[in-house]
Formats: sequence, structure tokens, C-alpha cells
Amino acid sequence: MEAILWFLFAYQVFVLYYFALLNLLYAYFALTGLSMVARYARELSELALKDLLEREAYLPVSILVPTYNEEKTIAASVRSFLALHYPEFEVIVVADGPKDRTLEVLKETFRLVEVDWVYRRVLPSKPVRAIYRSLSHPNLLVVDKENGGKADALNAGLNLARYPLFCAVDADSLLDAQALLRASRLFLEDERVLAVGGTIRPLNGAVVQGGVVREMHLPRGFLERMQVIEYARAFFMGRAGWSAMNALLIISGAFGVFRREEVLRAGGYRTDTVGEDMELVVRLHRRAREEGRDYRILYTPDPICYTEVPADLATLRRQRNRWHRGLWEVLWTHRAMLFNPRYGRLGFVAMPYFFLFEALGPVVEVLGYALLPLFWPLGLLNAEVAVLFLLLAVGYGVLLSHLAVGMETLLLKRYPRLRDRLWLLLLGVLEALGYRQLLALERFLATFQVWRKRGEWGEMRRKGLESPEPQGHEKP
Amino acid sequence: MWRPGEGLYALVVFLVVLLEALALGYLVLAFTGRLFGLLGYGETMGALLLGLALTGLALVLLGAYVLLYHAYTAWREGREAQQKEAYLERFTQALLAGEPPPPLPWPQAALVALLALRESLKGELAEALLPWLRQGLSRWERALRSPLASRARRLEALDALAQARLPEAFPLVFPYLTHQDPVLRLAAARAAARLARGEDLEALAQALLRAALPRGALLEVLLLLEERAEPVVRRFLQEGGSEEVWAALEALGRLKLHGLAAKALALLHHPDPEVKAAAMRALWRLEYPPLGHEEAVLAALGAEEEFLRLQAVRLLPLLGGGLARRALWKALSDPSFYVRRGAAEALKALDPSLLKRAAEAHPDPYGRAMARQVAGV
Repeated sequence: MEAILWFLFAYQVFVLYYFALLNLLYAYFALTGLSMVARYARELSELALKDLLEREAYLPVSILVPTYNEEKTIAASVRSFLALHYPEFEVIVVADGPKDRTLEVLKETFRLVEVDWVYRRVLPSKPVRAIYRSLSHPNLLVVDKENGGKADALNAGLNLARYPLFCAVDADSLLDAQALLRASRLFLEDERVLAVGGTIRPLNGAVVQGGVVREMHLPRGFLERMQVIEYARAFFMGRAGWSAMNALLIISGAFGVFRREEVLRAGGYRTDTVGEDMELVVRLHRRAREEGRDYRILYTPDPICYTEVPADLATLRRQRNRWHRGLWEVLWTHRAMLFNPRYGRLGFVAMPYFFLFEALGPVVEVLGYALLPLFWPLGLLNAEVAVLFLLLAVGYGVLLSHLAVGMETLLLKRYPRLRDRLWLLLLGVLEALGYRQLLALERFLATFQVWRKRGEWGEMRRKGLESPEPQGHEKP
Repeated sequence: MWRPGEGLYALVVFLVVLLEALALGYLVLAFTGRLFGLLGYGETMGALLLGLALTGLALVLLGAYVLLYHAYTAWREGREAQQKEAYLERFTQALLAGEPPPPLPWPQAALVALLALRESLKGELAEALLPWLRQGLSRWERALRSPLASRARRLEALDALAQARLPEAFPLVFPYLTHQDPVLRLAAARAAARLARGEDLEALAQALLRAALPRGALLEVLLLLEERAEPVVRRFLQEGGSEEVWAALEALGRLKLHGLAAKALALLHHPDPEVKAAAMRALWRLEYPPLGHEEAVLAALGAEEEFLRLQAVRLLPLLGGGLARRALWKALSDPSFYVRRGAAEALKALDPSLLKRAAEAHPDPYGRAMARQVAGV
């Protein structure tokens, strides 16, 4: 009994120090992130972008769009990619053995005809059944292949890609018109850059016409609104901070630009993980470090990609479960990097952070809540201290959300109404009171499902991108 | 994009983070003290309450700032946009009617409107704007000369001068070509490329040779020079390292500087394969046959580097005759997909009938397949 009491007491002490360290790290990210975003924003010259376009000093880009059952969104999505402001690019849509009408929709919308295309199969992928080109858009190619998962579809697309840069995007996403130009200029101006990730914002609530985001409003759904806050915090605090330290481990699968040759040399996307986006970035870091090369993998705040976020709890839970399993898989695959001096700050800061705070965080948090009923009868719980500590934890969480909202206000102000801004601040408070704990529980469960659910993606329910009226937002 | 007021926001964030760090630090100390029996319950509770109070204060501070900032900038940006539109209209009317511009002093929005007008006009109308644009020169000069000016102000001034294209502004930009800050150096190079005329071009070339800019940025600068690029490209080819020579060759081809084609020929023998490939690409773009250098092109067909072989097959049709046909036929069996494709496309341009024959009878099945696809058989 004494041992149990000692363990429970030690756990309380551990949680306190864990909490303090985590929040100090967040504070550090807030500062480095802010300085990085500020520097980027000040250095960006609209004139330089215009010159890049007019003087054709750019690197052509292949846009890879893996798609599965996306019949509702695919036409609008591909139309938005084809409407991008970029002088030379191709769009390669890879239909990964869809069970719905995705391929038919593509054929009808873009007047596809089958072609006998000879190409180099550098990366293995499931068999390609047919390749189509469009009679209306010469830079559109559609690949129909047997189902092999997102990573497999991306590899098939990479085999067909012609250009030095490729951009991997989700089929339920829309890109800002200048997103490619802003991201690709970083490759042109610095040859050490291997990959660039942009900011992802929830599309829900936006007015989308002709594949272009015309206006942003907060979505009406509670879960969707919560994700607006979450995404702002993740990108403006986390990614910006890591990028400033040249230790960015995640480039979202929804939008990332890479040097094609580098990814081919690294062997393309791994098909045995559900965290293929993070895994590729970690592998690129690892290879470059092992080869002793000077390189950069960057996050840049302004190339914006809008993506449809889950609107219902079941889909949201499935998505977060998958993300967390993906994180564990990547950490396990690259465990040799943990605390390994060969990998510099990646080995000593980034990987340990992701292991201790991102992967194990939900376990610590959920265990903390679960043990509370045990502490009480054992006399280990001081109600006053517990309540105050909980309030403090919530307060710090809200503070981080508000810092991210502040950053968004200064940098982008995509939600132009003051009422929306007020809502965002309020949502920052609400998010810390239940929503975050709910997701922590899902991630806690995912930790113990990594092996059992290996390779399981889970169905994602979509609403669709185009809407003549704002999607589910309050009318002005 | 980045709105004014970021300095104040940075201060607010710094204060907030400082409050948070202080509260956390104190809390950890208090709990550690309590753990080892050095502090009483009251002190621990005090630390917690202090942490809560500071967090609350930080939240109020931040929230209020965000809302006030949003409201203020929305109002200000609206006003500035209106002002800009109004000045744009007044400047345009004055310009078209040959009348004097609106009376001084002009707000910042007036200069922004003027720069936008300058950017969208060409020829005599654009030149007529120069005296008006000189009203902003002292402001931009101050930003560039002041040792206290922030990087943002300097970048804005460089951008404005690039847009204004005032010929006398080159000396203002010039010192920044060797500035220690690479971001300012790049912005200055872009601005200088828009401003440099006549003798400035030689000075610009010399400065760029010392600027240590990446080759992509150098290429961008050369392309910005457009029809004025020749002396700079020439200087790069004569005195530059691999980076500058590569950029010069790329620009040479894209800007169609036929007068420098002979210089590219000499670089077909350069030891750096990237430079060699750039020289071939430049000749291909200029459609300038590498006569007298056939051996170098044929040697490139056997190079280890795929990109070099690809450039060589693209260049071969310019040589014409049996030599090119034989080399392209052979290149159809190259192990690289891209070289085979390049060879088939080159053959299509040079001798479509030979490509059709290759589609039927080339000994290499991959070469045959590629020829079939390119020939559309």
C-alpha cells in the first residue's frame, strides 16, 4: 500500500514539473514563432512576386492530388488547382481505386480521354489501370490505379511528375491563388531548401465560388469552430517555432512543396504508415544530416491551404486517432534519432519533444484525470490546490490560443468581422473546457491501438467545397 | 500584409510570455520548497493564486489588444484604401489632362497610389510621373541612410525605389548590394536591376560578383534587367564563379542574347557539369549550332550525369546531318527515361520519318516504346 501511495504522490509531482516544462516550451515557441512570422511577413515583397511571374524566373511545379472517395469535392478542388496563379504547372490527380463516382466525375467534368503514357516507374506502387489526359486542360493528368492508400497514390503520382518541384495536396483542399508562387520562391532563392510547408486553415464556413475562397466566416458547427482555433495554434505557434529552429518535423499532407529529386532519392512516401507526411519530412531531415549537408526544411505562414475539417465527432475522432497513431509510427521508425548527437537539435530537442509531450502528453493528461478519484479517498488530493491547478492549466491553454488568434489578426486577418474575432477569443476559452480533453482521450486510446489498427485510415465524411452561400455560418 | 503595430504586439506578447514564465517559475519553486518541507501550505497556495492572477491579467491584456487592434486597423485600412483610390483618380486625371498634381503635403496613401500608377504605366505617361515621384525620394533616402532605420523600413524603401524607377536612385541602392544582411542584399539587387542604366550596369555587375547571392536570385536579377542585361551577363561570364556563370548562361538563353552565343560555346568544355549543361541549354534556346564543338556535345552523351545527357540530346538537332541522327538513334536506348524522351522529341524535330522507323524497328524495346509514344503511332 505504501508503494502505491508513494507512486501516486510521485505522479502528482511529476505532473507538476511536466506541466511547467511544457508550458515554458510553449512560451518559447510563442516567441520564436512570432519572430519568425514577423520576419517572413516583413521580407515578403509583392513586387518581387510580380517580377518572378513576369520574368519567368520560377521553378515549374507538379501538383499531386491523391483522391479516394471524393465525388463531392473533387471537381471543385481540381478546378481550384487549375486556376492557380502560376506560369508553369501540371496537376496529377491520382484516383486510388475509389469506390464511388470520383473517377466518373473527373471524366465528365474535365473531358478525359485515355492515353498510352510511357513513364519511368522510379517508385513502386499498386498497378496503374489507366492514365487520362484532359481535352480541356492540357496540364491535367488523371491516373486510375488500384487502391493502395494515400502514400501509394502519391508515389504513383511522383512517377509521372515532370517538374523539379512537386506539391502534395489533399483532394478536399483549396489553395490560395498565390500559394505556389510564394512557396516556390523559397526554393529559387535558397538552393538548400528541400521542402516548404504552408499554413492550413479550415475551409468550413467559407464562401467558395469557382474553386476560389471568396470570403471567410466562422463555421456554425461547434467542432468546426474549435478546429479554427486549434489550427491557428498549431501553425502560428508550433510550426513557426520549429521552423525558426530548423527542426520542423511536420509538413501537413494537405499542402507541402518538395524538391522532387530529393524525395525520389529518399525513396518516396512510405506506404506502411498512416503518418506518411511526417515520416517523409523526418526522413529528409535524417538523410541530409547523415550526409552532412547544409539544408533547410521550412514553414512559411502565408501560402495558405484551406481544407475541409471534420464536422461530426465520429470523423474528428477517427482523424485524430489516425494522426496520433501516425506520430507513434514515425517515432518508432526513427527511434535511432532520439537523443542521438548525430542529429543535432533534431535528436536532442525536436524528437524528444514529440515523444515526451506530443505522443506521451495524452497519456499523462488522461491518467491525471483518471487518478483523481483515487487520490481523494487516499488523502492525496487537496481539493483547493487541485481546483486552482486545473484553472491554471486551463488558463495557460487559453493564453496560447489567444496568442495564436493575435498572430492571425496581425498577419492575415482572414476573418474580417470584429464579431468573428470576438468569437475566436471566446472559443479559445471554450476549447480548453472539454474539447481538448475529449481529443486527449482519443489520442490516449490511439496510443494503445498503434499495432492493432496499423495501416487503418478510417472513413472521412465530407460535405463538399462549393457553396453559393456561406457554408453553415450565420448570415450577416 | 504585416500591419503596422506589430512592435506593440511584440511587446504585448513579450509581456504575456514573461508573466507566464514568472508565474510558472515561482510555482515550481514553491512546490519544490513544499515537497522538501521548506515552505508551508500558505506559500504554495499563494504561488498558485499568483499564477492564476497573472494568467488572468495576461488574458485580459491580450484579448483587449487583439480586439482594439482589429477595430483600429479595420478603420485605418478602410480609410487608407479610400485615400489611395481618391489619389489614384486625382493623379490619373492630372496626368491625362497635363495638369499639376494634387497639392502637397501628400499622405502615405498618395505615394502608394503613385507607385501603383507607375507600375501599371509604360512609355511617356510613366516618365511623366517621375517628377511627382521625386516627392517621395527624401523619405526613402532617409530610410536607407539612417543607421536607426529598421530592416522593414529599409525593405519598404528599396521596394518603393524599385517601383518608382527614378534614375538618380541607383547610388542610394548601390551600397546595399554588399550589405551584410542577405535579405537586404537581395532586395537591393532586385531594385538595382530595375534602376541601373548605362554606366551603372558595369558597377552593378561588379557588385553582384561580390554579393554572394544564390544562383536563382542572380538569375532573377539578370532577367529583371531585360534588354540591359548584356554587359552584366558578359561580366559574369568573364569573371564569375560557377554560380554567376550558370546564372549568366540561363539568362543568355532566356533573354536571347545572340551576341554572347560564342561565349556559351567555350563553356561547353567547362569542368562543372552544371555549367556545361547550362551552356548547352543556352545554345538550344538561342538555336545556335555548336559547330566546331561537336566532340564536346557527343562526349556529353556519354556523361554520368543524366541532366547533361538530356541537354546534349536536345542540342543535337542543331547539328543536323547524319552525325545527329546516329547519335539520337543511339540515345534512344539510354538507360534514363528522360534522355530517351528527349532523344525521341529531338528526332521528331529533326527527322520524323526516322522516329517512325525507330518506333517500329529500334533494337531497344524501351527506345521503341518511347519513339512510338512521341511519334503518336
